[in-house]
Amino acid sequence: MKSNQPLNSEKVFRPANLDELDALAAQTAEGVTYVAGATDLLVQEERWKSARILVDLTAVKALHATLEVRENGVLIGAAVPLSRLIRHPLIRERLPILVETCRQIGSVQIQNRASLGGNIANASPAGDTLPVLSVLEAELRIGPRQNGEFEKLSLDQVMLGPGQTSLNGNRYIAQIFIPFPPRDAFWYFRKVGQRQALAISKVSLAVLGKKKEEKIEEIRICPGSVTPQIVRAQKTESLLRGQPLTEERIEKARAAIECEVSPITDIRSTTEYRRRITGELLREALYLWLRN
Amino acid sequence: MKASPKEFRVDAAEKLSGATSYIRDEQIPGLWYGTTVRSPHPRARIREIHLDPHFDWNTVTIVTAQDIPNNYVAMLENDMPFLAEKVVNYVGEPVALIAAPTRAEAEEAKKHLRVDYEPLPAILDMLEAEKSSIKLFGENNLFKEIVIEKGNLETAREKAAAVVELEARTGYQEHLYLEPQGMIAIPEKDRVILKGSLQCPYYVKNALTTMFAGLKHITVIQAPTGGAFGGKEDFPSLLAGHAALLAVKSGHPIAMFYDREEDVQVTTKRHPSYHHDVAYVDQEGCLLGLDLHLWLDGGAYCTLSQVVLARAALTATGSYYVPNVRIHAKAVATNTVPSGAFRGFGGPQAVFAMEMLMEKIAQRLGLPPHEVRRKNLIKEGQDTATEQVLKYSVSARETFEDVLQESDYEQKYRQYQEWNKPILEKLRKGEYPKSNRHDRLRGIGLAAFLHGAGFTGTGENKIQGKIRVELTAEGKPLIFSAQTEMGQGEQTAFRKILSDALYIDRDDVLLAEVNTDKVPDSGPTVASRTTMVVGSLLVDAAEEIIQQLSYRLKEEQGVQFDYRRGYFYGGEQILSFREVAQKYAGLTVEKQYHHPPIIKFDDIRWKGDAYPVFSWAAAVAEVEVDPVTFEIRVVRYFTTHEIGKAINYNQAVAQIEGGSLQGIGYALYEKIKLQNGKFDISGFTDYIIPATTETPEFQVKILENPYPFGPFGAKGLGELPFVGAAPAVLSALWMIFGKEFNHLPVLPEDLLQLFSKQKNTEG
Repeated sequence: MKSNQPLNSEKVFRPANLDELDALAAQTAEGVTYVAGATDLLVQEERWKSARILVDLTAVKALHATLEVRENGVLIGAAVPLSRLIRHPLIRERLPILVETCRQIGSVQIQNRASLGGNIANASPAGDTLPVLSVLEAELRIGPRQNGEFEKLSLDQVMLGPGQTSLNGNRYIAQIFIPFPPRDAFWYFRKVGQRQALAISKVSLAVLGKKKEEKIEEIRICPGSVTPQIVRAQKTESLLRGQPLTEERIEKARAAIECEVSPITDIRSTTEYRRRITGELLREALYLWLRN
Repeated sequence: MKASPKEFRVDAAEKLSGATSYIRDEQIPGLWYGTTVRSPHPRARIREIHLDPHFDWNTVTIVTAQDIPNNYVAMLENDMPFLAEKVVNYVGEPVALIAAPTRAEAEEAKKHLRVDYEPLPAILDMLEAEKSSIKLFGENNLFKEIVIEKGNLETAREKAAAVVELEARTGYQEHLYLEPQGMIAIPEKDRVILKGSLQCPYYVKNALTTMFAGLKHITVIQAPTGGAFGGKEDFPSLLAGHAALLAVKSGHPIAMFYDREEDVQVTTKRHPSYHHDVAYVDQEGCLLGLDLHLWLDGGAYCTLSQVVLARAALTATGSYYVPNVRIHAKAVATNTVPSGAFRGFGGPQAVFAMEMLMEKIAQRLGLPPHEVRRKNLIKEGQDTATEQVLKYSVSARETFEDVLQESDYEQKYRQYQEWNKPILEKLRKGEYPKSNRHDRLRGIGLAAFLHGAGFTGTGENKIQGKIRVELTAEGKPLIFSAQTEMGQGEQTAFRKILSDALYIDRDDVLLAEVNTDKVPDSGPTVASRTTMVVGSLLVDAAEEIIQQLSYRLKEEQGVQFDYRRGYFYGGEQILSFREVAQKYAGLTVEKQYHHPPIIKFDDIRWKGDAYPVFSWAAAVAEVEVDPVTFEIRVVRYFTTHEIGKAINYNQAVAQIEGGSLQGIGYALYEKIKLQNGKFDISGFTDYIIPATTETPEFQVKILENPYPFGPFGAKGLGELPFVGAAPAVLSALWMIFGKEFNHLPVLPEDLLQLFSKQKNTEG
């Protein structure tokens, strides 16, 4: 294990493998800050300056290099750069919704460093991959390992609110397992920002659905930037699930989701705009599905 | 001028390769870091500055108002202190300074210094300033009031077929230069050397000489400057004062380097404005009279607000001829960060209001917006609001007609109206996004605009800028001027002007370091004056160099020498410029600027030649609006500029594109609000400027119509492109929605609100 004296924080560690990482997590009494691409951390000067111990995850292959395609899904290291996901042929084929959200994050430079784990750990309600991970029902694998096993948690068990996660006591996100949706599933993702690139979302929406005999068999809807915690719009989903997709249903769903979200007015947008556009994006998604 | 198809900027290679050394790259032994203790209140009385007795204050240096010989920044009014003494007047106002060997130690010490304040009521609305019982400046909080009158508004009122009234507002804008403010002060026995990122070295020298009551010799050196846009015109005087005070007291060189957040929070912004305008027009839309009222929010201290106001007032009638005018302009004091210089300098606010008034006249009379403008464009021989008769280089009509043609405006205007009809209908019925999600509303808008080149009014005659050119031992002319490169291309322009005037290679012209001990005061690098005003001195200098060299050759050799295209011809000899210059190395020529005597201005009655000449432009913006999210994009932008003569064509096009894009940002992206007097932005993440993804397809055209007193006919360019972009973009929104757009910026949130209202009233 290497360590050196950095400029601002007390210590920086760069564990070489999972065992070193787990040992470090267990031995360190103080809270550590895990760093993958640092795209969120570096721009928050106060945060990295106040961090006493930084743990650089980019040498831990299990986190930084894992990209295992299995029959039912893909296991992605929490620190794998998004651009690898964007380029991966099988992920492009089976998880186009994930590729789309990764493409809309920041800029190419950001995508080359940013990771899913970082996006989750940063716990911003505007984190662009979170609604998509939510509708994909991604399973987060949390270290350090206990008896050789990662703990398995869902996104809403980890991301609790703005900047809030359940990851205390030096726990870290190791890997993310994303089950493949059916090949004929409908998907939609759209992000609205004040600029086409390098912009934090005002509103976003991810939708994943499956029809069976003209009825909605499964529907998952997750808006971004309009709720403190990234959670699926369950009331709206239940209004649609098991029902035929009709214009009338769509308009009801729009009204439902506008009630279900709780957006705020801040520097990026207004409550009114966010609420309305969440509804409009849902309509856009569902009408697209209807016409398909 | 020499034809030169590929002329790269002289500073391009160094900047692209990262070799350029900015102020933060300086390696100075023993350099300490300074930090600033600032007011958290928009207005408060300072009760006490309290130092924690448990902290070891011997390790740091503290400066407060008591340490300053003359505690005011010498500018126009001398009302702004370097450090507040009894009262703070805006959030972020400096109260104390601390320096330590490292930034961390300085920040740590800051935590142990506490200022006790008694908060006081504040003025946060510019329209309340004049009548407020709180007195920030003079009797009525007016930094300046200007009234310009021509003709008789009564006549206009009597003859008018329509009276059109408009209220308009523009917001703050942050410069967001790539390199935040940075300054280093190095103390010596009787002098202080200031080196930093700045536009106007002599402003800094003057401010610091005054601050030290003449007790210190001040040397100011400009470091390579990573962008400024006016933001490094007035502010560096304050920052340099801080660095110098700490340096003198501590005995150490001091760095004051703002990070981005501090920079956007406390440095100057573009003046917000409020306009209340009335136009008297005939049936055809001809302007019979204009009654214009405008307010600029100057913030807590005057800085340059008086001159910004002057430019706004003098630009208020835009590119149009109006027989009867009254302009009433006020710059007011409020408890906000002092507003300061920003590309356009009052012009953008004024032109915005005028152009929106044009839109409203067109709407009221049911005329196409370009027709109303066309009828009123000013031409040679007509006079402005100050009764300045435009005698030469007038191209309001030429640029306007050209851009209409280049953009195919009239046809697209009709086409897009047709195109939008079904989309607007569906939008009103709430059918989006049910219908084709790729539908976009298409708008086309236009603006005519101008910029007075050089200082306002008598400014140039007050400054009387001076330059010097010396011939070096290698036979190369070396230019000494105080003009600064900040990314706009001054170094390239100067070397090109002098080399072309002398018919020598651009690489054979040298530029002296901008150091106030070495270069004469050629005036500040502002007001689109560098190329036109100081550049003209270079041409004069070139002529004198040739004359003197010819004379000396004749004296020495007894034959007449003529100079042609880089060579002296005399008797049977042909001598290159270089040979002759080497022979007479050390020859020095000085030139000083005076306005041509035909240019006269009375700045008490506001009559006469407000500017020696104007640069002219017109623009057409094509805009698309997403009917689902109301996102607005400028997809194509056409502009025709008439700038006398483009000194470096490619660079002029780049200036025009950059300035236009910055104006598009002003129109659609850049928003700052105040929360109890504090700006709600912290930097690049929440202050959104256009990126390449927001850059429209540009089609830029430059017309030439020489100004007799500019170098090769050149006029000012730097600010002009900014001025018209926002009104052109908003004109497109008028066209799409048929509604009044009278404030900047316009965001998707505003369009949604407009549409919700419309639906409510119609439904």
